[in-house]
Amino acid sequence: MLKIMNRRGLNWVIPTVIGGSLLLALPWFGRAYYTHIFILIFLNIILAMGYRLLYVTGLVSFCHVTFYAIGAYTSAILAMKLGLPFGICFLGGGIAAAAAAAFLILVTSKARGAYFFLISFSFLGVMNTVFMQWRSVTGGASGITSIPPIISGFDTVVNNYYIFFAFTILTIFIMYLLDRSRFGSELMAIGEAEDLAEVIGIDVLRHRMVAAAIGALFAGFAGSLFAHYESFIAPTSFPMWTTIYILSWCVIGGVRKFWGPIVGAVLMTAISEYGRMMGAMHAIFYAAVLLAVIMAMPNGIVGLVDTLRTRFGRRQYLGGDTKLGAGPPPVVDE
Amino acid sequence: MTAQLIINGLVLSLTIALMSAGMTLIFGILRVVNFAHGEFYMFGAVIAFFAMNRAGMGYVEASIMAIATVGLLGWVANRLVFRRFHGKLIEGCIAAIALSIGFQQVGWMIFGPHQQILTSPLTGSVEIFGAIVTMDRLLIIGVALVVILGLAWFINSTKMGKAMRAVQQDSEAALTLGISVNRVAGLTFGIATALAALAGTLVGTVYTVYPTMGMLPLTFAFIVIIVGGMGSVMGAFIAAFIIGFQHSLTSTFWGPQFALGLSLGLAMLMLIFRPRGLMGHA
Amino acid sequence: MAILEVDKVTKRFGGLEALRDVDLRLESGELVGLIGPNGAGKSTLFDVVSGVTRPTSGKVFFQGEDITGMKPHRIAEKGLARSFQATRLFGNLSVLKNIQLACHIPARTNIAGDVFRLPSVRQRESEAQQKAIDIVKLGGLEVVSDELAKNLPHGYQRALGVAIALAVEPKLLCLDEPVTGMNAEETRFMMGFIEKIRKEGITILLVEHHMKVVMDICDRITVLNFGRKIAEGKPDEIQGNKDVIEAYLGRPEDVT
Repeated sequence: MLKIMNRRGLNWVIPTVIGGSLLLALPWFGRAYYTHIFILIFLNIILAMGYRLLYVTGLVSFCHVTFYAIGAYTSAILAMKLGLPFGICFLGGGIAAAAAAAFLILVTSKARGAYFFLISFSFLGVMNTVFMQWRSVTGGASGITSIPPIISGFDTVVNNYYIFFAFTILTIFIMYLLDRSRFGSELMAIGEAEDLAEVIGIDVLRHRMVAAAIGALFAGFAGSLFAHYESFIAPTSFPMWTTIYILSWCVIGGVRKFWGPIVGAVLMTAISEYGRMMGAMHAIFYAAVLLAVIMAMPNGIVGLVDTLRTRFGRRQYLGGDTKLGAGPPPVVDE
Repeated sequence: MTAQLIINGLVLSLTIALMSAGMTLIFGILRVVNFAHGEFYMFGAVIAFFAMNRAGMGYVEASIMAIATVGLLGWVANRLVFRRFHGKLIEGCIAAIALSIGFQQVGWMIFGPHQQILTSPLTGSVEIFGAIVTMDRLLIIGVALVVILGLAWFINSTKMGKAMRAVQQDSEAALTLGISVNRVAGLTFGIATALAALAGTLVGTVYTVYPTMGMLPLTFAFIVIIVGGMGSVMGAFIAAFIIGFQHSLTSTFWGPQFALGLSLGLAMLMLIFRPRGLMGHA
Repeated sequence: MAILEVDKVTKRFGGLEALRDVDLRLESGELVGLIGPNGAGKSTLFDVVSGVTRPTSGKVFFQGEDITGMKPHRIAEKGLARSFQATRLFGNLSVLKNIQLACHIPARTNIAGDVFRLPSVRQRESEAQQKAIDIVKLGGLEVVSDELAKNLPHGYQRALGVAIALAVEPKLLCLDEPVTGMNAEETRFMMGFIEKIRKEGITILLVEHHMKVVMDICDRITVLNFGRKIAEGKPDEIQGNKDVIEAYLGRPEDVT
């Protein structure tokens, strides 16, 4: 078994190193426009990966963008109204978003699948109203301007790019740790068979709250980074479409593995940008891709890779190389 | 002032009722959350507009053509896309979202960004209880009311209506009774989208027509089917009135944004404390 | 002290009365059968005992502690495990993975320790992995250990269901129709499996329709019909009991 693990490890190390180096070098040979686009891609990756945590437990939420917004607004308000340093604002944004998510899961614990989707949809709308109407705190429709940068004196696009890049790497690493941990497997188990998970001792509600909180924590952090990078946020910065996109990245990339949303986010953002060059047709193109994937590859790209691997890969059995269909299980007598 | 409020409330309630009746039927019978329902509404208005302004049709003929076309489109959408997702909520939802994005874009492409209006066949106004009421609004109220009553009759009294209710309760059992679930599904989708298109052609006479006009009615429809109970047409009717009048009233004093937020909050509370809505099944 | 005490449990679903004033008592180490025609309420009783549903009235005591209405995962932690009548597995995961997951309670991890692979957790985790392998062998599942649960033949799936419940390290194991749909060979194996479990000292409550199995291995049998207990006693007593025979409308076909 050790041999296979090493080979698998090698498969990932080389492309990652190459990809990583390219990304590090990007700001130096790309135009500023591309650097900015990549910052958006990094944000999308963080949002998609966070979203996946709750998604795999069988709860499809429609309000991930709201946690993003809560993080952004909290961070901006802490900076503007209380003059707190970025680090505190950043943490505040993440914690506020995480708390909101955990609370949402707690109060909706009795809701089944479709209902949770709709509750989160309503939550998105309610929070949007709050952002629009609570003018004294959130600036209403005009939003908040002149938000201080992440690191003052260090506020160029290129420098911010590296900050985002570093944080994205951190997020990916933590998501990787979660995915291969028992907790991560248990989240997927909950999505598979919730009642079975309960009777083997998994506190489903608590697991879901933690999953939602972690996902929202990173969304909140991303929101904070976003707010201090753009230096301006308004309700229009967080349209409902973003939450739809996040869902579509997870669907297209697949959620069985932690890297699915990364693939989905990168691929669809790239398609969206390429589509922009196609002019008016790009939304149709995006919709067509989404439809094709959900109809032909319901498990997304991750599922596709898995299927290929099962077809062409090798199997490992505990009892040695015995094949399937060797007859009924041996009668155990002692 | 009050009469104006009541009239507006009626118009809103009845058009929302048309939208949400269809959507709740689709959910109840096919277990699909039709995220693209707003686009069928929009197509109704858009097709009627082109029929009137390019082909020179009168309002009535144009509307009928638009409704029939959209109903057919809905039937086709079910046949090609949604049928494989019956009962599979997440996948069906995503497919609907994809259609919504695509349809909106098609709307953009054929209609353009400028808002237009459908000319109502009825002009002038009438005085009711001391207030001036425009005839076009009365037309909406009249037509919507008739159609809604017709729908209620259809579901309760006709054979097909009963078949639809049977499929909603238990599609497997319905199969054993000889009911063609696929046929019922197709018809349901066709009827539901036709209702949405009707709402579109009606509203297009009073408010403007534009490609994204379906988003707000979609939101209202969601709220209404949540409050009314998903799958219950009667619940949708009652909730449509509650939400419609609530919205009219609140937006007069505190603006439409706040009114919408209030409705959404109501929906959330309903989902938390009584998820099956006013009249839904457990 | 009885390991399980079900005390006048009644369960109503709307107008339907699934259980009515059911009493049940299990001593530690027993293998008790629970039989009755379809719809008698056997699975509902399991749901109440394992915390999946709350009884309308009545109480359930496990090892002297009142567990009525406790959430299923807490009841599992206390040492009560169950399998399901309709096969419930983590279909898209392998057999080994299913059992590893089921070792949740023995692994006793906390989230932070688990995610960051802290040494305290690592030790317990590797013990749990070993335990999972032991259970795979016990259940005769080595042959299919890497196969996805949803692709298994029916017999293996039922065995896996029991293995999963075993991984919880229960003191009381509630098995819901473990041999349903199995052929003679598979049934013999399952009986051997259950005997092995019993030798470990685990108390077993068994719901089954297969009369020969029930009569052969159970110490005692309780009979339910229409949600009420109608008889209780040793296998030979039950076989001759008129009420039981009537409940089944004639002789059960497998009784010798």
